[in-house]
Amino acid sequence: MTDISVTELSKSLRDAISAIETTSGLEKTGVVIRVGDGVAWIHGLLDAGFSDMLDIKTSDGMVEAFALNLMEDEIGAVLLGDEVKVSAGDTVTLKGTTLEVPVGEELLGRVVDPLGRPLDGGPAIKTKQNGRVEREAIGVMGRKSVHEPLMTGIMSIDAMFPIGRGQRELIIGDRQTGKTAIAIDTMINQARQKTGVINVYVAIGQKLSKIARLVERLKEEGVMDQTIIVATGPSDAASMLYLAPYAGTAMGEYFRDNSKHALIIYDDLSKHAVAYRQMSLLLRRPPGREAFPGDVFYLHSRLLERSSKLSDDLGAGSLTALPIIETQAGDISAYIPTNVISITDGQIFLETDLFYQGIRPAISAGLSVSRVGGAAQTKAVKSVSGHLKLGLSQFRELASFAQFGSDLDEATKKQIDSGQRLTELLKQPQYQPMGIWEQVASVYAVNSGAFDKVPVSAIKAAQEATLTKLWKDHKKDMQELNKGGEKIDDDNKYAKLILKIAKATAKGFEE
Amino acid sequence: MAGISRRKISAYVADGLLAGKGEVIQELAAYLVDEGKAKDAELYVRSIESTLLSRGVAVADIITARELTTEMQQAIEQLIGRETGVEKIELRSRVEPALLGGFRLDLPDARLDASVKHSLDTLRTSKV
Repeated sequence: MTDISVTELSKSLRDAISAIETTSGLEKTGVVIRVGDGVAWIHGLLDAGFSDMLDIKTSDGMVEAFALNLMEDEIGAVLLGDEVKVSAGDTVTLKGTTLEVPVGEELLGRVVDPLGRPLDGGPAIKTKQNGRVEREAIGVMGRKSVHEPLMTGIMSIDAMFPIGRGQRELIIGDRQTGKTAIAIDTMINQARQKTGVINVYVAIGQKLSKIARLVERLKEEGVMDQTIIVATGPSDAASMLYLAPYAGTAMGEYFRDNSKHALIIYDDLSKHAVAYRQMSLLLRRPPGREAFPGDVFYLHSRLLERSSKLSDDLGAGSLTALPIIETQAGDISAYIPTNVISITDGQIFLETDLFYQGIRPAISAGLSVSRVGGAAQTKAVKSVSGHLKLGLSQFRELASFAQFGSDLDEATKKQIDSGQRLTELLKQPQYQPMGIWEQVASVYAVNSGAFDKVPVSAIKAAQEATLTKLWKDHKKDMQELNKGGEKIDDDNKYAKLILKIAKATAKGFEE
Repeated sequence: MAGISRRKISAYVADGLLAGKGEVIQELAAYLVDEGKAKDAELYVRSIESTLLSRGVAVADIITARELTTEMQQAIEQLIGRETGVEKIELRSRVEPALLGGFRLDLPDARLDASVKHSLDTLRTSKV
């Protein structure tokens, strides 16, 4: 400050004023007619377009809003700032842009709100670029088929319902069935396996304590450095909840468009639909089924269509989406679940019954599916998990029959026994994602019959011991196997090695 | 007349006024009272002025910090003509010392704020 003379200060101030003065012509204005419930009704501004940003000049500074209802006589705009400041008669001007949020690497490791403002108490975020919140999805020619795996580290998913980079895989289930846990484990796995995939976690109306716990956990696991969290709580305005997934997608698209790979988790879209229903009803749009507006399908389809695998010409980046939907009493035929199921490329269905039986992750083998991930599955995992899904879903059906009678033929008994072993094997604690070699070795050991004499209750211990021994004695081989490029059949050297170790280890657990 | 949009009613009134039918104002007043929309009268006025502008008649408010001279008034009328392309301009002027200097021009659905107060407000709220 001491280096600046008064003359320079005066000149700087005059320059600043002249830079701000933009009174070169007429500016289109409107006026607030009514305001309430986070919505302002505006007269005038005939040039306003859908989703255009508006500035409302109040006696206490500017309040931003965006136009959602363009009617013959008035505009319905959703406020992004404090509605208490806005009053009828305030002047409204068009900002000349649609809503944008800061995007870039500067956001990594940060917790932000849907407008990109920090919520973590850290310094202000200065990015070189902004991304449009509402943006058209990439066209047909800009895309490529999903072909690279996105390993979740969860054996039952990677083996039976593989997810590819650029895929949209829905995680659906009742409350408290482990939906978020799957998403978190997937994020953790990206750091453990050093895949370089950037995580964007969008919390839509989640309890702030839950978000705080999540951030702490991600920091402990060393994942936060490659993660952006877009957080909204239950006390935030519906407009913020509505914007959160679009803002998160804009942040993820930055990495996709720069030849990187990103994973985005929308937790959850049920709350997003509810926030949109609230906004729509306040905007006086006609209610439809379950009081949702008519365009609730488009709300989610335009969001999820932005997740894609780009063509080589566009840099071959990808944005993978894991939207989460909460069902009520397992009803997947409700309005929002059916919508999102039909939009996505498959779903992981979590069952309350399985969860309380101790089968966690509580994935339903019969109702879950991955429509495009097969092409992206690693050769190694694919070769060992061929009939896993069918065998497991048949077992769950047979198991329910078997409860009522004991007269079972040998083949059925064998199928049930093998199903029980597989079910036990696929149990996996939270925060412990597995690498490719661990998944391949575990599934191959059970499929090849190495654990046939091990009691079901000791399967997990036998698996653990086998993996420990394999890593201890054959680390280099396992590191090689972890690349996943090799097909594992009975003649394969890794298969022989796994079988040998598994059989030897299993002896210690046999009855 | 129930369910008719404000824009349509404004167009009817504006066309009536341009045709010299002063009674359209009475009709509008009766309609607003009948429909319980008397409180929206100001909005209808804005809407009618907006329609008049599109028909070539500008009704503008000029607010200045000091009394307007004839030369300045003419200059402002020329400015309106240039910006809107209309030839018939009806200027309503008033003095508002709070503007500190300069002027503010309010046209239907548009504004030109060249007042010192506006510049200071912009300076205060922007990140300089």
